[in-house]
Amino acid sequence: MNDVAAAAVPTPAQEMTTLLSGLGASRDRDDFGRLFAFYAPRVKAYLMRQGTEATVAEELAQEAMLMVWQKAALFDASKASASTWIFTIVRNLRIDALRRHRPAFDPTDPMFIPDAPPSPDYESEYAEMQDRIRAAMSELPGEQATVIRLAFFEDKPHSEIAAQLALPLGTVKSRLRLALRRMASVLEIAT
Amino acid sequence: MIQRHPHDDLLLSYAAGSLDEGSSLIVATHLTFCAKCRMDVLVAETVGGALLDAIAPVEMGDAADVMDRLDEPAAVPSRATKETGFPRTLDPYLPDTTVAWRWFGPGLHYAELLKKGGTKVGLLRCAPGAEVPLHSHRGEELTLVLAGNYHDGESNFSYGDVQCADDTLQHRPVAHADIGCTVLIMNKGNLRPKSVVARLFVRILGM
Repeated sequence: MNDVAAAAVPTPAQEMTTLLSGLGASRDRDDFGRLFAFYAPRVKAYLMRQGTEATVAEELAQEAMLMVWQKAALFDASKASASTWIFTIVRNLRIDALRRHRPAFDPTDPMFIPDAPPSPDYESEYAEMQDRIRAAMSELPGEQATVIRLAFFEDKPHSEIAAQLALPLGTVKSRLRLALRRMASVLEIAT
Repeated sequence: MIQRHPHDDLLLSYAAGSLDEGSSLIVATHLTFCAKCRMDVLVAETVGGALLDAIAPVEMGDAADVMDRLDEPAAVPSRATKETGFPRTLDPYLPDTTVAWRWFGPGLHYAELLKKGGTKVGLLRCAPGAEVPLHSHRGEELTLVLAGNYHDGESNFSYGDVQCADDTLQHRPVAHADIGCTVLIMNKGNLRPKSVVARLFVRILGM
């Protein structure tokens, strides 16, 4: 089983989301310890998979977890699962560590156009939506799963991914587009 | 209502964190306006989260070092905002007060925001009816409309729309006859001018 398909298998991640939701208010160090035990070794593995050297990956994983503690009050389970939220923290930390810049939108920008108001049970819908996205991931055709994996793990422009797979650039782009469309389409059915 | 969005492969790389700075600036600015694409980015980030869940954990020191630091005050990033009339994503790239527009053709002004490794991002302000001479591209070009609209012979692009062009597209965008347009434009590699006038533009523009 490839790792894109494996990622679709349910994990203790839901439990972690519940723990993280409470952490901002509780400041409970035992809960944080449990989050650390689950995520830190995975964050380190993820960074190493992206080519980060082990000792640097360990330091970044520690920084990421410290940030999880500091920002816990900002975590909103109606907008992301713990894994998704921590993924974005790790992504941004790594980009900073590489001294690169990744512009991000500012929701307090006067020009920001907000989402349509969410339905009252959006939070439970998001949990359901996650399951659907994961199910869609597991059903991606192998060739789409491969480019998705490379897009997340290789940190390379599409042109280099194309060269690595000996495929035309257009083919790589269209596989990525099809994969994202397929996963996003499960949400359209839901609403 | 935004009709034209960045291609999904760009949203995916933006979510993964591998998209270059110039393209990311276009995507992030579009996301300021576009809830639909924010949702697509969230879907892609959910994929990142699922990959993080599923990865085989490696040996990691215990939490003691981090536990000792939990009482440290968190660093608060300074966020001085500027009153430029542009989306805040552009703040780090804009001067504090007025934008330094450079004339580069009848009805056209350009202000460069970023130039890095063959990628250029800038603002292009087009007077009503102004025309960018016919050109094609050696690399990718992304155009985001910040005000007004333009037509490129095939389609109309208005507020928030993104046009993705590659080396197969040859176009001659024309700004709206009454309101003109201002766009944020990113290109990789040089434009390929298709006429003497266009060649002159490219030389003046330094593209």
